[in-house]
Amino acid sequence: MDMNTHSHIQEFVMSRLALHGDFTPLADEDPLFSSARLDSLDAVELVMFLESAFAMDFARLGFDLTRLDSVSAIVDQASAPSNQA
Amino acid sequence: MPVGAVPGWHRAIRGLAGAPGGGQSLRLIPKIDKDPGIVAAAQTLAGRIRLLAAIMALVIAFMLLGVNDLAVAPLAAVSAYAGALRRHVILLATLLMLYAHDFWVDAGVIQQVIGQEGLAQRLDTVWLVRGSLVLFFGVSAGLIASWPRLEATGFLRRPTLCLILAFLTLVIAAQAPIAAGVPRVILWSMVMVFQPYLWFLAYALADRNAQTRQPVWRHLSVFHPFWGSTSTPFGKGLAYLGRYDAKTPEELAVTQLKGVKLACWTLILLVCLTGFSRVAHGLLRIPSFDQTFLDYLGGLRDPRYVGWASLAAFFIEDVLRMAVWGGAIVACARMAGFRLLRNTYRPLEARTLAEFWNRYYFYYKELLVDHFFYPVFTRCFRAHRRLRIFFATFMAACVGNLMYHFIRDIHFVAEMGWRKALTGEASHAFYTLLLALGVGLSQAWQRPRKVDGGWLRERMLPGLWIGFFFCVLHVFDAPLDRLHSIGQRAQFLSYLLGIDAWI
Repeated sequence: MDMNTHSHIQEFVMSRLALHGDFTPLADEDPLFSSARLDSLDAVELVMFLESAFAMDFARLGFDLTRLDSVSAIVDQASAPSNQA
Repeated sequence: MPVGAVPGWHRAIRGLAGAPGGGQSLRLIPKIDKDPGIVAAAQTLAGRIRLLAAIMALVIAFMLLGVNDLAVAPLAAVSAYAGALRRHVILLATLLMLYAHDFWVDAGVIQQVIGQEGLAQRLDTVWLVRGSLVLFFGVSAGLIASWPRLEATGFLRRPTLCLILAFLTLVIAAQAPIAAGVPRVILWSMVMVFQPYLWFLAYALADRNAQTRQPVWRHLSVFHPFWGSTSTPFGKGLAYLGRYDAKTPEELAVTQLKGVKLACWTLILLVCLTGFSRVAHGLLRIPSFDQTFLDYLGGLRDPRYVGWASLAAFFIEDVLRMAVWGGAIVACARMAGFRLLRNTYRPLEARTLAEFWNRYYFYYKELLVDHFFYPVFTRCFRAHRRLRIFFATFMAACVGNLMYHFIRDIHFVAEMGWRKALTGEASHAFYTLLLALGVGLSQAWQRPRKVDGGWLRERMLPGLWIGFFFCVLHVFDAPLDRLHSIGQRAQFLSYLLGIDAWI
C-alpha cells in the first residue's frame, strides 16, 4: 500500500467525519457508509476528491459505494492503475 | 445461560419503566442492544424465546391500534435462526407473502382493460396474471444471470435506463391502436406485472457488478422481501443487504435487539399519531387537507386559518405516518438479521431541505440517488462543482421522482388514455420541479453548520422554513390524482396566502 495515498485518503475521511462531530478512532477496515458514519453527501465529496487527487474516472468505472466503504477499500481503488483516467 | 443474562433482562425492564438502575433512566427506550448481558441472553434458546414473546407483544400492541405492519416480525425473527437454510427460508417467506398479496399485481386494471376490449367472456384475469408472472420472473432470472455478458456488449451498460425504456415501450405497445383486442389485454397484464418489480430488478442488475456474485434465486428472493416494501425496495438489493447482514450469533442478537428497540419506538410514534389525529380531527375538528381543498373547489370556503391548520396537521401526520410505516418495515428486516438503517430518522433535526428529504424517506431518496443522481453526477459538468451537484440533484429529485411516480401510477394510462394521463401529471410535475429546485439549491449551496449558532437560528428557523416549504409544496401534490389541475391548486394556494382577492 502506498503510504502517501493512504495518509492522503485517511486525512480526507477524518475531515469528513469531523464535520459530523465524529472524532472516534478510525481503523482502516472500519465501514464508513454502511455504518452511517458518512452519508450520501460525503460520498459526493469523496468522488470529487478522488477525481481531483487521483484522477479516477467514475464515468468509466461506474459508481459503486460498496467499493468505497472503508479507508483500505478506497486506497485499493485509488491505487489500481486501471482505475485512473 | 451466560452469567449476567437474567439481570440484563431485568435491567431492561427497569429501564423501560424509567427506574434507577436501568442504564440511563431518562431514556424512553433503554439501550438493550448495548447491554452485554442482554446480548448474551439473546443468543440462548431461552433468550430467543423471550425475544419472540416480546415481539409477539409488540405485534399485538400494533394490531390493537389498527396497524398490521409488524405482523411478519415473528416470522422474520424465526427465519434468522435457520442457520445454513436461512436464505432458503427467506425465499419461501417472500414467496408466501407474495402469494398472500397476489404478487402485488393490480389485477383490477387488467380487468378494466378486458372490459374496455369487450372480452369479459373470453379471458380469465387469474390465468393472464399467472402467465405474465411466470414470463416476468423467467426473463428476470435470465437477465440477472446473463447481465455481465449483455453489459459487455456496450449497448446495455445502463440497466436502469434499459429497464425504464423497456417498460415504456411495453406501455406504448399496449396503448397502440394496432394492439386492440386480446394483444392489448396481454400487454397490459405484462405491464402490471412488471411495474411492482421494476426497481427490484434494477437493483439486482446493478448488483451483478458487485464484488461477490450471488446465485440468481437469491436476487429473486428479495423482490418485495417478506419483511415489507413498496415499489421502493427497503434494503435495496443483495449487495446492500449483504453489508448489513448479521454474520455471527452476537451480531444477530444485537441486530434483533435493535429491531425490538425500533419497534418500541415506532409503537410510541403510533400512539402519538393516533392521539394527534383524534385531537386534531376529533376535538379541534380540523378537516383533512383533501377535504379543505375539495370544499374550496366546491365553493364552500373555510376560514383561511382552517386551511393552514389542515395543511399543518397533514404535514405532522404525514411525517409520523412515514416514521411508523417505515419503522415497522425496518424493524422486521432487523429481526430477520439485516441491520438496515432507519427509513425516517429525526427529520425535525434537519437544517436544510436536502437534509429533511434525506431523513424523511431514506430508501426512496436512496433509490433516486442510486439510479439517477450518481449516473448523472459522474458524467455531467464535471469541471463545475456547484452546477454538477445541482444538476445531478435536479435530475434525481425532478426527473427521477416524476418517472418513478409515472411508472407507479401507470394504471392512469389504461384508465384515461395517454393524453389525459400526461396532462393530469402537470401538477405533480410542477411539484417535482419546485422540490428539485429547493433540494438542489440547498444541496449545492450548503453552508457548514455553526456549533454556536444558537437554538433559534440553527434549529427553530430552519425547521419552520422546511415545514412551510413542504406544506406549500403539498398543495400541488394532494390529492394525488389526475383530476385537479395546476390552476385549481394555484388558486387554492393563493387563497391560503390571502392573495386571491388581488388576482
